[in-house]
Amino acid sequence: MNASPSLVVTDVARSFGRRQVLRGVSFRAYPGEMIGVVGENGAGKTTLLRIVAGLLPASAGTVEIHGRLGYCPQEPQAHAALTVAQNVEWFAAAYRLPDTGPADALMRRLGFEQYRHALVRDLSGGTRQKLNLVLALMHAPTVLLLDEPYQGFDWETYQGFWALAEESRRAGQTIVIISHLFNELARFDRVLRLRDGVLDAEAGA
Amino acid sequence: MIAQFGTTFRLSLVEQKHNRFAIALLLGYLPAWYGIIAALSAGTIAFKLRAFGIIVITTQERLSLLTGMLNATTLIMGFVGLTVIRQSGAVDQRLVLCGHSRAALVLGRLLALGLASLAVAAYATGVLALFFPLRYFALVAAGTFVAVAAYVAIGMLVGVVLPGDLEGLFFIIMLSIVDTFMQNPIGSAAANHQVVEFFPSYLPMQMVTAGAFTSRVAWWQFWAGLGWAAGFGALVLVAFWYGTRTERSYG
Repeated sequence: MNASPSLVVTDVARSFGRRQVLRGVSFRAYPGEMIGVVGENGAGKTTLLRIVAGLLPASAGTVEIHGRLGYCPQEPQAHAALTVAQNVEWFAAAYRLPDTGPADALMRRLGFEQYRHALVRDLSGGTRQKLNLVLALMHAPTVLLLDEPYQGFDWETYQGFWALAEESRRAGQTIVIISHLFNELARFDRVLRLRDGVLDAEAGA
Repeated sequence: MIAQFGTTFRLSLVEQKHNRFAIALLLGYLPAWYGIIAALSAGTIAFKLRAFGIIVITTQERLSLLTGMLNATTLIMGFVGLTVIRQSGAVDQRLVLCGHSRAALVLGRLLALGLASLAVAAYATGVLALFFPLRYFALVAAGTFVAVAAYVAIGMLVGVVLPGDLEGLFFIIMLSIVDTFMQNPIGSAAANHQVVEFFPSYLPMQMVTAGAFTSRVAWWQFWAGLGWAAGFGALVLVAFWYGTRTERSYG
């Protein structure tokens, strides 16, 4: 890659008590690159993404992000007693966006704009997950971290999600996705395989 | 930050509007609780109103209604404070990650819950006034407000500090029972012990009792009680600050 990386992870380690979950993980991600993070349950995928997002401190190592970051957690996180539109409004205020136009467009794209006035607690799991994704994408991040973002999606939405991810990649976004599905591996430019907290050689740097 | 504060304040109020369980408790449980107390209490009682050093003689029913009101409203709003933190903690941390000001978030939430406390105090006092005439309605409502506001802040603090919902619920229930029961001269030998002066609802209890039965007014009790609530609110700010810490903000 000739471009400068938008994400640089260097020697990141993390322990929970005596259990070492990540041991010196390093990788770089570039604009327009889509990276898959795979591994067994408990391999440290979510921990790695949470450290990169800034939700967890690393025990050692550094993370550099050049540009805006978007993070979509595994479990949908939105205020359950508010409507979809009110959640979008609150996150727009957090991102300091002038309006909710980009989020509205994403809602149309993912096909749930008819739920904008529904309370989040009344939504199905799949629709909550769509909102979860919109809240991560609405500020057009430079680097996007997605932790199994399609749980609960129907087939059509799943296909729509990948079309959206492809478009974002072509537009120069760096995308890092945690995945469990082998049939998705071909979609990635690179696959980072975590095993016992260490990246396999396939990762590259 | 001001825009974020305004959004947080407004949407926190909307959240409370959708808090069906708390609304059901206020609309159903509180009047029922008053009714049970009124039906089951009898006799008169003379007790020393510690803050003024005077002896008050009234019916056990009226005194029980007053302590029952404080007990029920502090419990309900303590749970509301706890629920706000427990159910929104992860989303609030996500908002902070997205660039939301932590100060705007917690101050907006505290102000919204303060306003909700004011409405609950006015409502609870209004329903109480249907059971017996209060000498100074505003004083009773003001005393109830500072007690409720303190418990909202305690509930939020407990939500940040304790690890689980059950621990939080247990703590609030026990605190409210010990706090209001120990001060009640009906059945508590410790009601005249100096230690009750350090309880969170001591000043509000003195205030609502004086407002309901006597011509004594001491607004310093209101301000001092509000100081208790503000003190707990400041602790919430610190705990929230710690609980929503992130390595970076990407807004």
